[in-house]
Amino acid sequence: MERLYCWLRRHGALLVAAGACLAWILTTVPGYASVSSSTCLGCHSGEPFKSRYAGSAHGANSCTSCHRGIADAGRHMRGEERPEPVACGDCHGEVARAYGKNVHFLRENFQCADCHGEIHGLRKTEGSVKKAIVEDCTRCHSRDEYVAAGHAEAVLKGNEDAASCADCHGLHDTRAFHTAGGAYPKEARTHYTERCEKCHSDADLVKRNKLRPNIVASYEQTYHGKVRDAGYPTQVAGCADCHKGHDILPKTDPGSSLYPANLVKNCGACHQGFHPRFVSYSAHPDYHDRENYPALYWAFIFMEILLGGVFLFFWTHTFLWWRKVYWEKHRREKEGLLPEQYFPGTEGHVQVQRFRPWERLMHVILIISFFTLILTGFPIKYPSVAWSKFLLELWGGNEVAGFFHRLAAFVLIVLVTIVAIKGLIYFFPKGQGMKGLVGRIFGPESLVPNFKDIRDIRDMFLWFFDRGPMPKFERWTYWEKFDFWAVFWGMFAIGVSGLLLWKTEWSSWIVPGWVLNVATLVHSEEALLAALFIFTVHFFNTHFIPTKFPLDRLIFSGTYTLDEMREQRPLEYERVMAEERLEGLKREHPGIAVKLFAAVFGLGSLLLGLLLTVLIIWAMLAP
Amino acid sequence: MNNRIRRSGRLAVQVSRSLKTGGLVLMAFLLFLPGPARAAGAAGAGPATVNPADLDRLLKEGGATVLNVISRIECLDSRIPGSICPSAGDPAVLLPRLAPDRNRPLVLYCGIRECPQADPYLAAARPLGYTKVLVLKGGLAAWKEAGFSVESPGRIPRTPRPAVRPAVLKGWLEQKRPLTVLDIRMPGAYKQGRIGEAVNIPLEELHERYPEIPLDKPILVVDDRGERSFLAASYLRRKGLDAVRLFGGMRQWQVFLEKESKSRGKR
Repeated sequence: MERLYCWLRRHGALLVAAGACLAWILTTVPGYASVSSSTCLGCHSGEPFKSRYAGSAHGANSCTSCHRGIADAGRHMRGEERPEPVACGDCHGEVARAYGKNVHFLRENFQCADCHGEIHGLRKTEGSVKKAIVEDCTRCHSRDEYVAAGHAEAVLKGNEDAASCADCHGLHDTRAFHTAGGAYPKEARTHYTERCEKCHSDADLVKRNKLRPNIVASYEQTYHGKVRDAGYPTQVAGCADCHKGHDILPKTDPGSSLYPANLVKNCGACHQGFHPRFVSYSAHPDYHDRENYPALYWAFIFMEILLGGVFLFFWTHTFLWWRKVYWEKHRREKEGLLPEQYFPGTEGHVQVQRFRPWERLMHVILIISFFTLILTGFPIKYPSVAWSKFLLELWGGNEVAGFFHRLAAFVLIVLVTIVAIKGLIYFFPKGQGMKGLVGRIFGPESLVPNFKDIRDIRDMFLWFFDRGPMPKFERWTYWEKFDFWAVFWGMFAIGVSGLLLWKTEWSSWIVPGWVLNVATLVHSEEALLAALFIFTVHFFNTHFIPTKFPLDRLIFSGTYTLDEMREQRPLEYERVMAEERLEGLKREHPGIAVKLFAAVFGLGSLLLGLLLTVLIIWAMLAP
Repeated sequence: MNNRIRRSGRLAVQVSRSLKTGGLVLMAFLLFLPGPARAAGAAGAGPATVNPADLDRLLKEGGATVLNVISRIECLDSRIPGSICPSAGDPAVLLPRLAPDRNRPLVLYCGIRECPQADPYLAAARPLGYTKVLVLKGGLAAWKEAGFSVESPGRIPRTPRPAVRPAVLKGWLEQKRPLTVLDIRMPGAYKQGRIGEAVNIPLEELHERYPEIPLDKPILVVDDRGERSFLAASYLRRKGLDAVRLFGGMRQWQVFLEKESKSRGKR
């Protein structure tokens, strides 16, 4: 006691000063200058304040925690002092920030209490929050189908995995476009499709609710999904376009938009002029599901074997060839045999024609159309990688890219048709008909494979391993014949599937919708085969082989030296000499313009091809 | 003969040269020709606008009279702090009273996008000599979205007001269900098209004319896009009248009718 007295005597002045400061803060600083809750309840004695508030979610707060700005109860009672507007955001800051963009606030000036009800009696939600949200929203949005069926019905029945209103529309951040899909098609479709995908790609949730697995991944394999992924959601169907918004029912239910009898109407919302069998197209095709998609499954297996087989053979072939030639070149350089010395003025230096001008022109057009097809098609094949969006933007969008894709396809079809006609004219020359046809088909000038090609393949592999000399080739080697026929096979696979996909509604008058699923797969896989084959195999065989690196300009200039002919096509050389046709094949040395064009266009194409190979590998490795 | 050939050759060269030059000039002209959108924009220039951030700066500098030209009900419910809620009346009469300083900038605003209610004020302001009249771009919604505060001197408490879908309303009309369709759009819009025997009381006049609404039938409030009917229905509820509203307003109704006639055509 004595010690306390001493302490007070020593620090009394300090204590008085501190007390005065506290009193000053409490009476002058807003928020502290307030009256007690019991004073408020003296007048505001209604039911919500007196009995319910103390037990409410906010019950621990005093009246003036929310109703600020009342410093003097007397002045307030005389009407001279009014409370400031309640600012819920002072405590619920994050909610308030989200709500600042909410359509209910921006357009209809809804305040917290409009949804949360009488705030003084507000209690923490007991039980399911999702259920409470559905019940709250449907106080105004009282459309029967919101709760009669689908997700909201499941929520009300107690399924906590099902989506409540807030799972799709947002809770406090309900944006303007949520209520007006027509006015904000891009934002709305992007938003809702993402919301659906969030739950339906959750493997645990899908398993728990016995939903179909891979539903999101399979949608993303379709044209709808790919164009959406590439950033053009307005041009294709998102989830809600087919499944609708609130009345989502199993497809066995006659009320479902996916019920077989409703499919024509459902697809007809976007597609016009199709045959009813169009609707057998699957918007979620699963290539791995043999039971439900047998045609697609076997088409997938076939394409995988085709791609695997072609690349296994040709990449091995290419690697062994490169190894052989590079080692050989190294040996000859070491022995002083390279570079070879040419003696000017000898006959070996004269230029002989290998490709006619129209063939060279067609190859240039082929290159342009091929690159156009790849640059417009691959961004849709691999829509998620960054470069695809960049490329599509360069084209001016998906639709413009689609136009050029079709234009280039048309050019390619014309080229192949011309070659086919030329081939027929060669096989059936005027005045000879069938006479000597077999000789022409399997003769040295023909591109049709024959037994010599099989022997050449065998001998080539023996040569790779130093077990024999390099085979002597005629005018066309086996890999050149493969290149040629690969284009024809490619045109059949990629061309027919592409024509079917050109205008899918019209195609439905020829084939059922499920064939379009197969066509999509074939078109896409064959495109990959064609692109990678040209960029990794054809480029090497023709240009990157160490003896020709970096570019063989032969296809652009049309001519090479007689020595080159003798070395590369010895049997053809011997035949030309024996038939005394050399004079007819002699040409002028290619002009500087042709050489420059070959260098710029040819090297440009090779570099572009290599760049595209990197981009394709990037896309294939991307998660 | 040779001379003639030479002369015609020279002529051909000249023609080809002038064609090339002409072509280049034409291309340059086409290149720099203003685009159609730009030209149209210049021709149909609307009123001068101000964005929320600039208006905020203007108000802080103390130099603007701000008029909320939507309805008084909406204005008192939520407005830019310090703005004026004019009563219904002739703007030529109201303006000199509300904004006596004609050299002070006059800013008009509505709720959301377009602001047709500003047109009579704009028409009246010019002859009265107001030097600077601006319309707030995006209206009150843009102001709020930019994060600026509002005040509510006379807020209408919202009560749950069910929304009726167009398909349901069509069923009601076919069943000849007793119903008063209350169209709260501007008279111009109402005259262009309405639902059945709709009564037109613009929201701008609702606070004065609500006693005209017949009490013997349920009320359905119809607005332009479904964004103003909730407030109107809540206001009526406060006045003792129970009303439901048309979801999406006349716009949704028209979309519904168009879709229906299309599907009927297909059938």
